Amino acid sequence: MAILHWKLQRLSAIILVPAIIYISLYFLNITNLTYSNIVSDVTSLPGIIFIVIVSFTLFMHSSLGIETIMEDYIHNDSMQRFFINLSKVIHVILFLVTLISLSMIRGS
Amino acid sequence: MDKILNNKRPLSPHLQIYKPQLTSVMSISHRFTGVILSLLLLLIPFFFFVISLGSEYFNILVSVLDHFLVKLILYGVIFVVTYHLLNGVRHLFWDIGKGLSIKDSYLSGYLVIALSLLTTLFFIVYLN
Repeated sequence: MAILHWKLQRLSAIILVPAIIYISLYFLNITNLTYSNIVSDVTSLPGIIFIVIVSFTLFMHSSLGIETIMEDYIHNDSMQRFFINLSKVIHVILFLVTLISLSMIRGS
Repeated sequence: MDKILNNKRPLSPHLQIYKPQLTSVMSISHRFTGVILSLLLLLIPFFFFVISLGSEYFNILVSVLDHFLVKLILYGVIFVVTYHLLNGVRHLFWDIGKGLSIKDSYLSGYLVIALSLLTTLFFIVYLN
């Protein structure tokens, strides 16, 4: 299990390096884009595939990182398990809200 | 017996008298910036939700982004993202066994800090 955690953390990091550079540059240029530009970008098929894959990877990378930190700093076993599970639930909710909002943009 | 043995075991460095090195400070900074970025993940569903509300709400978001204080926070976020990303690449090189010597880890450490500062400076100029 720990090996899977280690591998997933590295694999997600490798995927995120080019993805974060792209997203950051897109976002820093957002004032030069119109609303319809952004809507057509995020509702295009490549856009949806990119957002779903990258946001999933991002939330997973964050969840694994927070889990590692909690394992190191929360010494009470039951408290540690509680906060790790809480963090996982929050990450899943955030990912689902992202997907729901994306489908709302597509539907509007 | 166990107690006596435990008392003779070497102590971990006391943080109050511990001289921090570049490597240890960068290691804890990687975690610290990671936690900040995890909190900032809230902005992803928020961003898509605002777009789903329509163009008038999106325009409000863009005007908020243009505010001086928000820009100041944004510069900080650019540094945090760049630092975590570059230091993460440094970690990935270590994972494949490259750059592990003390000399190389200091060199890559200084490189990460310098590149993070330069990237942040570049975007401060670019966004103004």
